[in-house]
Amino acid sequence: MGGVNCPPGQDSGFKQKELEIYTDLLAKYCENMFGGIAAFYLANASIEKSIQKTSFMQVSVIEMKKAITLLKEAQSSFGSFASYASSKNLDHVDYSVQLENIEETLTLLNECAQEINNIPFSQGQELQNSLWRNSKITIKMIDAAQSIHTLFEWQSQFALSQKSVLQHSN
Amino acid sequence: MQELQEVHSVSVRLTTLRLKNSKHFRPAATGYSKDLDLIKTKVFMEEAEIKCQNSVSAGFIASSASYELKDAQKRAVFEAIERSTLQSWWSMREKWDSKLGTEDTRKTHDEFFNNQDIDLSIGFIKPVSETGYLAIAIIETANTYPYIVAGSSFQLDPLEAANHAAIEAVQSLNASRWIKLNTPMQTVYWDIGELRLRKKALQKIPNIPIKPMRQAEYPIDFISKTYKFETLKIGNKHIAYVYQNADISKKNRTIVKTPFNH
Repeated sequence: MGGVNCPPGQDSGFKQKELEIYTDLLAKYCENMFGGIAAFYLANASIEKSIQKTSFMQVSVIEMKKAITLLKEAQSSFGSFASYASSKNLDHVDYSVQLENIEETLTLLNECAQEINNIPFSQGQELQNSLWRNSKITIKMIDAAQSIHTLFEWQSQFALSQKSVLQHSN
Repeated sequence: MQELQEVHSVSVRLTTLRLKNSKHFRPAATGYSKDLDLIKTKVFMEEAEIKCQNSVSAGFIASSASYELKDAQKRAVFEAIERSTLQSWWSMREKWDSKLGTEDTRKTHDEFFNNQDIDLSIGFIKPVSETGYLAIAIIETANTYPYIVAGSSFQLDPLEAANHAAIEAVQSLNASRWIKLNTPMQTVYWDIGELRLRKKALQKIPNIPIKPMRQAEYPIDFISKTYKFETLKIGNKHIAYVYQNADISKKNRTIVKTPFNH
C-alpha cells in the first residue's frame, strides 16, 4: 500500500531541491508508519498461528516491539515532515491531528505489548482458551487496530487533499 | 499602558506574559514568577523591537530594546551571536561542544518542572564569537503536543546561559501550545525527528562538570570586527540594531532564521 501520500500541490512553486527534501521526508515517514502497522498485524498473525500449532508467541512479542519502535520513528519523521511542509506555506493542513493519532496508537501498542507478555506460555486450544478467559488482550488489540485505522484515515484524506491528485484520478 | 495576559505555563516557577490584544503570540516574555515586573518590562521591550523591525535594512541580524543604551546594544549583540551560531549549528549539523552536568540539569528540572514527566537536556555549542557560552535546552514532553522543543541563549557565564536557555525552551513550549489553541492556522511544527537526533547525540557526550568553565571575557574584538550598530530612541526606550559589518563576505548577509525563532 505504498504511495499513500500527498504531492506539495500545483501552486507550491517548489524548486527541484525542495521537492526532493519534501519527497524524502514524506517517504521516510510513510515507510516507518506502514512498517509499524505491518509489524502490529504480524504480531496478531503470530498469535493466531500459535493457536493453530507450535507457539509463535515469541515472534509476536518481537513484532509488537518492532511496531512500537517504527511508530516512534514515524512520529519523529512525521514531525520533521510537518515542520518542513508548514514552513513552505503550503495549503493549511493540521498536522497535529496525525501527531496525536500516532501518539494514541503508540500508547495502545505499549499496552498490547504488556498484555502479550502476560499471556501464559501455551499453544493450540489451551492458548485460545486462556485468551477467551481474559478478554483484556482482545480489547487492547481491537483498540490498537481502531487507532491504526484513524492513522490510515488521516493519511488517506491527506493523500487526496491536493487538487493535482484528484484531477489525475478523474 | 496595554493590558497583559498570562499564558498557561508548563513550569511551576516560570510565568509567560504576552500583550493581550496582539494578533500573534508575540510580543511576549518568560521569567521567574517572582520577577513579574521584569517580565512585563521585557514584553514592552519586545513590543518596541517588533514595531521597529519594519525599518531594518539589508544585513540586519538582531535587535534589542532597553531603557539603557549600553544594555540594548549588549543584548542585541548577544542575540546576533546566538542567531548566527544556531544557524550554522542547525543547518550544517555541527556537533555539541559539551553538556551541562547531570546534577545541574536535575536541579533546573526540579526547579522548573517539579515532578512532571518532562525530559530536560542542556548542552553547549561553540559560539561564533569564540568566547562566551551558547547553551541549548531541549525539552521533551510526555505524550503531548508539541512533543519536543528547544530554546537557546548566549551569555558570558555558562550557568547563566544554561538557565536562560531553559527559560527560552519553556517559552517555546508555552508559545507552541498557546498558538495551537488560539491561532490554529499558525500552529508551529517543531522538527521532532531532527531534535530527537540532536538530543540523542547530546546524551552520548561524556559528563564534564561545569565548574571549571569560567565566565568569559566580553568578545569586544570579535564584535567590533563583525558587527555594526544602529540605535533608535523611542520615548524612554533605546532600540539597538545589529548589522553584519560591510567588510564581511556577502554570503553571510541574510536575515538569520533558525528553527528556534518561530
